[in-house]
Amino acid sequence: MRSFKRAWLVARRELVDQMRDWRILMPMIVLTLFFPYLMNVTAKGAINYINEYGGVALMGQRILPFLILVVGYFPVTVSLVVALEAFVGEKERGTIEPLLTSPLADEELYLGKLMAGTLVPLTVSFIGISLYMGGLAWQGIKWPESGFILQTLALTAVQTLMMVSAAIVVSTQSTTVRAANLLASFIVIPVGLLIQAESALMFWGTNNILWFAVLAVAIISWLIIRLGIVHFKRESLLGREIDILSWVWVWKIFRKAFSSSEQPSGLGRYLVYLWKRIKKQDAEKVLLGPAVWQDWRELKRWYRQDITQTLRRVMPTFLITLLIGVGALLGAYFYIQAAMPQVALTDQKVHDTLRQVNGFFMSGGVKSLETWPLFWHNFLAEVVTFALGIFSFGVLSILVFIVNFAVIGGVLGALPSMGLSPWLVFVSGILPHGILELPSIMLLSAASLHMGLRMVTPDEGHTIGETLIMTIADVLKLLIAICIPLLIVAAFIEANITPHILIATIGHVLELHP
Amino acid sequence: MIHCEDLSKHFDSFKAVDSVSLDIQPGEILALLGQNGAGKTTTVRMLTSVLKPTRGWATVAGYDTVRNPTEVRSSVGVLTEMHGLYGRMTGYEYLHFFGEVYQLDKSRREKRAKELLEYFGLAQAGYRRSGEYSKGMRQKLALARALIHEPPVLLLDEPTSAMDPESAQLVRTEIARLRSSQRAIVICTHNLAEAEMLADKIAIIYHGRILLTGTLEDMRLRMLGPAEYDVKLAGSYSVTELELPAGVNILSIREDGFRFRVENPVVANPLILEQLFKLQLPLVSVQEVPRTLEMLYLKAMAQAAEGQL
Repeated sequence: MRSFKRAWLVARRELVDQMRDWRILMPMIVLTLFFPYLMNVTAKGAINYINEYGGVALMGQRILPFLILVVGYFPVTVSLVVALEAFVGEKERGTIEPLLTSPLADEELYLGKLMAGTLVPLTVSFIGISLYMGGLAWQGIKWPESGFILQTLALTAVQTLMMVSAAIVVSTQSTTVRAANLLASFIVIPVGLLIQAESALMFWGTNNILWFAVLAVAIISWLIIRLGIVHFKRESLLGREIDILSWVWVWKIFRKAFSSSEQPSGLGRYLVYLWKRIKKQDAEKVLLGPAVWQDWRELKRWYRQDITQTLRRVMPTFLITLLIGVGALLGAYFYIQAAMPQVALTDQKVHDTLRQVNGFFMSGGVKSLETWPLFWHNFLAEVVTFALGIFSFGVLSILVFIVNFAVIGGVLGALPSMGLSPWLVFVSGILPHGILELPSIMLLSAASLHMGLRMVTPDEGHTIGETLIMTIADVLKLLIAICIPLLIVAAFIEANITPHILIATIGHVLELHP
Repeated sequence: MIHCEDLSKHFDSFKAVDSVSLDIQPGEILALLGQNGAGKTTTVRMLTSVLKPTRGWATVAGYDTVRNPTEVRSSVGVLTEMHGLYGRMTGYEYLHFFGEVYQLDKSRREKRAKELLEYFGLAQAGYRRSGEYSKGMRQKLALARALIHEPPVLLLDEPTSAMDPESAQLVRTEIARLRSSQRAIVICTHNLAEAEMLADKIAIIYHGRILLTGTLEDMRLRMLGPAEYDVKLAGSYSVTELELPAGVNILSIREDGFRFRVENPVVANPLILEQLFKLQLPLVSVQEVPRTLEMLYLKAMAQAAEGQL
């Protein structure tokens, strides 16, 4: 409570200061008052246009909640400036040091800035939305359902929190306001894309899924706030003077995290030697055989020491991921089984489906399954999972992983209604290659989650940048050392062995559907 | 009140502060002198628990700067090199805000804010936004902020840098008024006249290392030797018949006087004067040859650059 009061003290001063700055007030007032009016005109125009040309009235109705999101989003992007300069702006103006030398705790300072950064955008955003809704009522346009409105308000709130918390992190890590403003595009653009994805879901009317988006964005916001607090260091706020991206520094950190060996690669030395020979420069002689032998020994050491240590670190998150995967698979399996009686497939539909499967097997479709395209597909899926993990602290990696396992569970759950044994299909159609492929996906997802957790765990000796590079190195180590080899072998089995086992086990059922 | 041993701060391979040891008692003012980038600000930041030392330790007002950062910051008033005022706040609001930051209750902070504005001659200006203040007024308001919680330790980083002579004089006068038997003050400056005027003790820092520390007299004796006096006489007289006490060396003889160096002027100077009167030499003046802090500082810097110190 006392900490909150002191954080509020910092926030209150900032808020009063903002209210005295016309450069902040003017755009916010204009966007809050004018933009909803513009959206009202747009809404009216869109609905009239659709009605005039005999379009589906539903389309007109569904544009309304989307415009609520837009009305809420724009004032936030402008007032994000306040959060972006929360720390770095004070540093530039020379006002940060009296605060840093005061007895305010790090958390109090940080949360104070976060509150000040969040309250203004959220307020202007909600005022804008209220004006937009009032405008709709004034124009006689029917409001969307209350659930829809609640959902868009919740989305606006969590998105604002996510944007502001990310902006505050940027502010603590930048050395100039200019740099912070440039980095803001990494916040505004992804959230813009997120809103586009949400609007697509709204147009499809699948708005229940949007509650998951609310939850995911809320979790990511919380993780970003935690990341900011964990890595907030008074020292680095005053210590850093200029932003210089040193690739040498990045490489050194990455290299050290990727392999504990400091020896240069044997093959690398050999190539340098060859290059120098071509250039007719003096070079110490390197023989290919010993060079390769050195790398082979180093590879064995890397697996024995570095990979084993990384696996030990990732193991707790791997077990959590395993539990989540099994839960998603069983959940989807039982959900589909429970739902099947209500959406019972007609005999004709079952016949058509099995006929298609049979056709695939009989017409030589099986032969079209090749190792490398299968590997490439799975490899890209893992890379995308990893990339999503970098931006979401592993949350989106786990979501993708859950979807994968839920699809398997769902398909297995639907099999009994087609007269097929789910166990038989699982053992003969999934397990042969899945025994390697699924752990590979699981390990990569677990490593991505581990990466996110390490980012939000206090690490006294390392900056955000160092921690990020080290955790990326950890994931890449596992990807290269374990996941890719597993995927190659799995793809080979999937292309050459699994189909034959599947035909041998369920072929007799398929033959009934020529 | 402030004690540090082997205090060091390294940024990668750069040694910003290297093995600094200081001891400042209540009632003392220490001037930390050095070039730009010598390590003065880094030392102050370590003493305010903003930077963690790479090596060594420090206690401020009895609290360890690493283990008790909150207590240290509560006991210290800091005047940073940039005044750090919020331009859109009035002087009174600014002091009130920092009073709350330092957890003074409402009536106390209102009283302190008014007292300090009065003390620094800002009573009228206190209700105007500080963005409208002159440089001297801003610095005085910043000094008032540092004093809002009546700290036992004051750390003043370049308190008069880039100020016009009148404003700088005002601030120096205020600092001199702040001297108290309960308070230790550290002033980081490269204004040597200011240090000479205000400080009881001086520490010269060079490339992060303390070259010299002590009272000005001690340092003069060490760097410039014993005191020198110049005697001026009316006309040309021989001074060879003077019987000089022990520890006195004649440095030069002119037609109208002479210059001597004395190890113990308190004992020797009255004896010399007595002889001058006895010999009825027409004495015009006897004065100590100035040995300014500037001479001392430049000599120390030169020796340090040559690796002799």
